[in-house]
Amino acid sequence: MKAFISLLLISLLIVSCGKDDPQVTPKGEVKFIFDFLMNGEPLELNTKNYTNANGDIFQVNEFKFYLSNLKLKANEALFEEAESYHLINRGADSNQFSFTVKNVPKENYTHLEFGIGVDPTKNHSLDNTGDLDPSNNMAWDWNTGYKFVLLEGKFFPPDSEARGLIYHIGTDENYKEVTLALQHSSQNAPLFSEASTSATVRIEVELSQMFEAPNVMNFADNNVVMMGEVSQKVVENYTQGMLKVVSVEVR
Amino acid sequence: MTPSLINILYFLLSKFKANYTLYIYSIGLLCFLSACQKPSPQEPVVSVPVTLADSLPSPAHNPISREGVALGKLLFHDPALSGNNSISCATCHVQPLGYADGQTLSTLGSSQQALSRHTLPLINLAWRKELFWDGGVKNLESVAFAPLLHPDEMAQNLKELPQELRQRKEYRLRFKTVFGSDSITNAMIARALAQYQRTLISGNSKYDRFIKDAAGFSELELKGLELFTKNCSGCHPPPFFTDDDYHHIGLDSVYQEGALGILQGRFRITRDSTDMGKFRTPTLRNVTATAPYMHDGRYPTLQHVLNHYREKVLPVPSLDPALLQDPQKPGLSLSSTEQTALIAFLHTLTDSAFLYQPSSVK
Repeated sequence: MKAFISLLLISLLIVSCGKDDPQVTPKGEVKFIFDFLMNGEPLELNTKNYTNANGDIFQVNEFKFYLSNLKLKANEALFEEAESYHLINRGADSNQFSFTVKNVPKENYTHLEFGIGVDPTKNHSLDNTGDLDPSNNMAWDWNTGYKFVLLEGKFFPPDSEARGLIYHIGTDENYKEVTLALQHSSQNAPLFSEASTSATVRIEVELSQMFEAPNVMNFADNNVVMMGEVSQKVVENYTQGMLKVVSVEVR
Repeated sequence: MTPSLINILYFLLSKFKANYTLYIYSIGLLCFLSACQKPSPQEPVVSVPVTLADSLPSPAHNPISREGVALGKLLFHDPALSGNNSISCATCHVQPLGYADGQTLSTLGSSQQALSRHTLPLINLAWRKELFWDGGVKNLESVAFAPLLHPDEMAQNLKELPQELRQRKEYRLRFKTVFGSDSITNAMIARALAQYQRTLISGNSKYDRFIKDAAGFSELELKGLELFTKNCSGCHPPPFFTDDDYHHIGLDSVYQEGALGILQGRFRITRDSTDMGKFRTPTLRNVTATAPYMHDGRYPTLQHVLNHYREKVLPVPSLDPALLQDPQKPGLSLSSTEQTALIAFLHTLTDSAFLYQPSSVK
């Protein structure tokens, strides 16, 4: 009996250990910092009047968006964050938002890829947790799904009362993936150096791009945008140039 | 766990007490061997009437369990789910009213302001593709957030709700049993409520007994069934008496844009102009208990509904073709004796056990 048990245990040990890869790539962490800007200046909420490309005067009260399915790409390597859903929020108190991804294999990543919004696997049900918890005011309870990008504020027409400025962009067709080049301090420098254990990627979020290029938005016609054709124009705008990697630091 | 497995564990523990690695492996061995034991076949959580379906649909990420249904039932009847702790789901979803509230436009919510649409009954929801009058909600796991958050319904703050429930020991224990977690999340609350709502099954009416036995209908009811099959079953097909689709039945020709287009029907969701004014076909099971009728509760009785189909159907472009059999006169041509027979048939869809028997869930 004793011999049998020992044999069994040994065989189990062999089976369990046999699959482990003895060569594990060292891991580090990557911090992503987002700075919210309007026309190149730090975004101010509630008080400051801005003018869009169409000449409309407006204020911003709230701005947030989902960044999901984050990937880091190198020539020979790909890192995909699991359960990757981040609500990037210009909170009331800070013009900066950050999150950190841990256990990233140290590879020579050149590109950052992610979705703006929530992919269809999570967008068809609201019983989600973390940043997708419906308490974050990003869930559409009457039309199951998430607001991908939320901008709320006020629009001041030249000859009438102020109106709400409500951009709630969502629905599956508006889920778009974006690829950004990781600009390194010197060309061909890896995201991680041999000695480093962490990297910081700084991203600027230029809100004016939502309303400017290639589609100039006219708030008199479109002060409330949720879905349909107009929303697709806004998506076209914010996927082209709203987000920009401005620096990558290695420590 | 079989006794022989326990013996092996004890043996291993006594032999290798001091050796941590082997201790872990012995546990691993036990788990490995246990996994090979066949689970005993479980009885279904609820039985499904044969006239409805073979089994109860239940999504893989929220499999139904006895404990989950019981937790959902407790939550469904708990006023703590509303912001001011005075309204539960059951306030507006009352069992004898087919889990509707009998009001034209409900004023039973937190603000006591009338809602924009009529409260829907909760009947056989496990089989519905989409929910709400415009089908905007894709599944039962997502539906609870609308009434929970609406300022005129339960006006709840979802940042506070899980914390509030966590303060109660009974909830901590029950959530742990059902979801295996010490925390409570809004997702778990929604899943438990969904499990309970899947058990609100109605398939034990006089009609169901007639289908099983091919007997028991009066002559009037038989005549009604015949008229129903000819005129109504296109959109209200058995066994659920809904086609899960959206139709314009000539109620209105202009549609208010306000309140995010809540009275524009399916258009609100699809943004397809041909869907303007189309609403989901409601089930007709327990229809005698779920008055008033239509998405805005405009018709107080079944007689009013039949009068609509006979005389009041508006000839809008998107009118359902079933109501255009005579291009000169939209609607259904039904004599008053035919209407009496139809109403007699609709009464056979009443399931008194569903409406009045206390549920067996504890």
